[in-house]
Amino acid sequence: MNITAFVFFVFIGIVALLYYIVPKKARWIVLLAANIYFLSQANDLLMNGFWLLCALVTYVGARLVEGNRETHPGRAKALAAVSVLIVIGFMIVLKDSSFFVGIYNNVTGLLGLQPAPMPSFPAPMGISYYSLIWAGYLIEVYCGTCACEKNILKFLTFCGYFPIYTAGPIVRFQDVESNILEGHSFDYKRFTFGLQRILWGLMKKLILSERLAIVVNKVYEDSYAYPGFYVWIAMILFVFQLYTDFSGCIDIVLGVSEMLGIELPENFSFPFLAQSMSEFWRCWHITLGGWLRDYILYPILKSDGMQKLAGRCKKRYGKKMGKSIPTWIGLLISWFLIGFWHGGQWNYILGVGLFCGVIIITGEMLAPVFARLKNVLKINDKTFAYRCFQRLRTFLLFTVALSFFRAYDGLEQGFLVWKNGLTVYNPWILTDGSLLRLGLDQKDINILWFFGTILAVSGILSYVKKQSLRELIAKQNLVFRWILYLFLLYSVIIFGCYGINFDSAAFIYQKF
Amino acid sequence: MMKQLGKVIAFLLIFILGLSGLYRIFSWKETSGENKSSVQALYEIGDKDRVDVVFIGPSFTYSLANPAILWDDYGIASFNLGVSGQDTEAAYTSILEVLKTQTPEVVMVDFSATMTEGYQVESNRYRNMLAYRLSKENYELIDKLTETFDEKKDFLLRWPIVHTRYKELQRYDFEQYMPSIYTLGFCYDWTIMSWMPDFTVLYSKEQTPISPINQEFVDKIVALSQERGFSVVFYLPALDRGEDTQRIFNGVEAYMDEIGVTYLDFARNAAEIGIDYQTDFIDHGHSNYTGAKKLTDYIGRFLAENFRLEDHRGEPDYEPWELCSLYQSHLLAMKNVQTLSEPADIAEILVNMDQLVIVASLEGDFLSSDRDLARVYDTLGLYGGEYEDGGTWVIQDGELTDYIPRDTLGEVHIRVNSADTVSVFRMETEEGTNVKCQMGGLPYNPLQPNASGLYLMAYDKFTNEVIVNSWFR
Repeated sequence: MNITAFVFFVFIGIVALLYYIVPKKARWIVLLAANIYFLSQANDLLMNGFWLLCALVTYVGARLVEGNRETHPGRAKALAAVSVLIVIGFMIVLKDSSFFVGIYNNVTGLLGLQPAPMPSFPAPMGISYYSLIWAGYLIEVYCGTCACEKNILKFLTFCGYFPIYTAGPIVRFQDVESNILEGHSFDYKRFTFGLQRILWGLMKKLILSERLAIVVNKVYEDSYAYPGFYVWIAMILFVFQLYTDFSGCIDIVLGVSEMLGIELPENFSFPFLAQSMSEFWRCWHITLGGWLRDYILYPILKSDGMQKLAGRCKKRYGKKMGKSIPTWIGLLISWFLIGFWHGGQWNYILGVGLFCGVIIITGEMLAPVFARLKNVLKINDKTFAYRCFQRLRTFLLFTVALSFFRAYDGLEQGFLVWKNGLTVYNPWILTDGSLLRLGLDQKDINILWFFGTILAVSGILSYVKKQSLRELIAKQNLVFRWILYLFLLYSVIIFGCYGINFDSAAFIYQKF
Repeated sequence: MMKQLGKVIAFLLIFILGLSGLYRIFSWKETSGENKSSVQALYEIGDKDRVDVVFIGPSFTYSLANPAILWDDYGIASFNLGVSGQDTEAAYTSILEVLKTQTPEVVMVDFSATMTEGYQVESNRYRNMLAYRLSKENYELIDKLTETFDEKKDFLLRWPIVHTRYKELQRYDFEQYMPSIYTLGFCYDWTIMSWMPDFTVLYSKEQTPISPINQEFVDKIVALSQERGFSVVFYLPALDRGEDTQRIFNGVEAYMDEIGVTYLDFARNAAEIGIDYQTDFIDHGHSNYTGAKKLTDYIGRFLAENFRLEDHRGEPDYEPWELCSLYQSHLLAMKNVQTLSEPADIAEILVNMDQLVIVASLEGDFLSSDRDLARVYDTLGLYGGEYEDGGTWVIQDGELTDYIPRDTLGEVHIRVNSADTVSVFRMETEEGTNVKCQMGGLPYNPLQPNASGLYLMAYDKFTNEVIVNSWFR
């Protein structure tokens, strides 16, 4: 079920109505029923069977881990490891097995042996998200930072919470358990804020993202026909397409949850105002970064192997390098996994994975050099202009990363696009009307500029005022507020890309 | 709590009102003036039960049955509900839609749709499903003509389809295009394309047994006619037919013979109708005005001979048909004027038409012109200034309203409808002054410094057409 579809909002309306009608203590049952219905529409019987199997492994695993944690810590550790492996294993097998078969075939190719057939398994919707959520849950239960949920129905309510299936966020059990399982009283402001957030998300997705996708797809599908500046424009536009698509989805998810009184963590925090790549990734897909930091990077750094390596590096290279080298190795592994999580393809692994990791590591390595350079050139890094330069630099680096991310046909496509971009010089396309060949007419371009400006200005306003846009608008008079809400509502209805005339694409992050 | 509920209700009401207002603009409608769907006109005249004869069918229908002729000759109040690409399912729904507000004596149904199934052109699907108001019948039609749930939902909600029209909104999305109401569904076309049917095919006896779908189409309409008390007459336009198509038609006609249903085959009756394939068509099936006149005359005689239909001419409630007749007379006058080359003959016609804005300007050495410009002056009654002095005259609705003498600068602005103004200027030139005429910033007659003779412009406010715009030197 597409969360921008009309039927989804009818569904949400019914869920919200039932949620607030039933007694507070039974409201989680409404969510459970909603989860079941949503999953029945999202997946076929086989995929739902896999989902249920994974959920049961997580439930039973957590209970066994908690039962053995005090008395048999070794057994608890093994149970946790096996459960996590099963949950993550399902994800890897169903989603990423072609990656490993591809490596195997490359090796067999070199050795002149018969290649294996490329597997193609259907994967349940949201597998990448709920696998991490459930693995995180198992780890937290093992660590004792949260108690396992003993009621299996309540557990299924948490682990099957339907809004997050499309694109997250990747929640932590201990952070959202009470939120999801405890019934909430109806709060008018919270409910309307949720609706407003949904509307904002729909604007981003249906008005902006879908239009940007038309241009990006055209160039990426045939970069021979659209080389040079077409490529640079498409790359830049893809960054905005991905942002509006992903953050728009998150807005809808968080908005739906807010309507029900459920608070989920934010996944974006003004990423385009970040001044470095590491800051950027603390503002973009925040929950994924947090998950990898807490469950991959820190355990790696705290592991015995890394501690020994740190000691050896410290002896050989000094205290600072003794700390840095293991961190960099840990970062490389984490960034590899970030790329791998997006899809078992090298364009993801190199694009949003290793490239970003290398940029961050290089930035840290060269920090002293940059500091000396700034000193010599008398560059004041506290100025507005310098901060703008940093933001632009970060944006451009992220654009490079995403240029490979977008190469859905593989790394070769990414390199081809770059080659066609670099080998042709055609700046006249910016002024001679050629841009109208990319699938958007002048009216569409005007709409993009208009709503893009609204998005940018509202983001800056919110950042400067340190308040959400909804809070800022809520302070205005009723007439002004209603004019804004109606304007946005009518804009989505009129200018949104939906209906049978459009190929209403699912969210980009829904396929992860 | 009550305050909040009140706010929610108020907001929703405003939203729904705004949306329905916007829907009026965005809704699927014919703004091209080509009358590919007259459903809007049906709703306009549907406030009273007045229609005695209704024509149902695809585009062949709106090109052959002219309500103006049936009104002028017999006083029959007819309506042409032809819709482009209409299939058999939509035809039945159309009849049901008419019956909601009208109790016609006769329903004439074009059965050319029996030759195909489904819609070849997407816009025809929109015409046949979106033009009608939401109703049980409309829902049933959408259910039959769409396959997936998403399609059904989009056609029922309308907005998922029509919202894309923001790119193509035109003037007549915001205001009613009156000619589509005046014509009562008929489409005027004066194009001529000559062709000849294959008579061996046309008169062949071979038939394909009627298909279940076509049989259901005939049976349902016959049953409806018996239930609702109207007479049904099926007809087949004089369209070009291949062997397979003719076999299908023969099968349908054989079934109609079997069950005793009346039908007319205009192609096979072409001689009796007087159809001339060299002059009466715009293509291999759609009639032009001349062909439609012959066909409508034939239909009129058929109706007069077989049914007792009232003559409603002169009755107060039949203004739409009076306007329909007036519209036709204006169009015919325009066509007539366009065939004339002498301004005096043109003036004779203009002076007998109402709702005209006429600009007449005598310039330069007009006195030495071969044309009888003095007769134009007398016919139109340009007495505000002396003929020999020349100048510019403006006549509105038969009355002289403005005169700008030659060598005088001046301007006249005439609002001709809600959005358009005809502007007439006497402007300075090297040779003296001369006239310039424009509307909406676009010149009908750009300023020509050396122009000499009679400039004549006539704007028909009824049809929103410029019927004359010429220099006569």
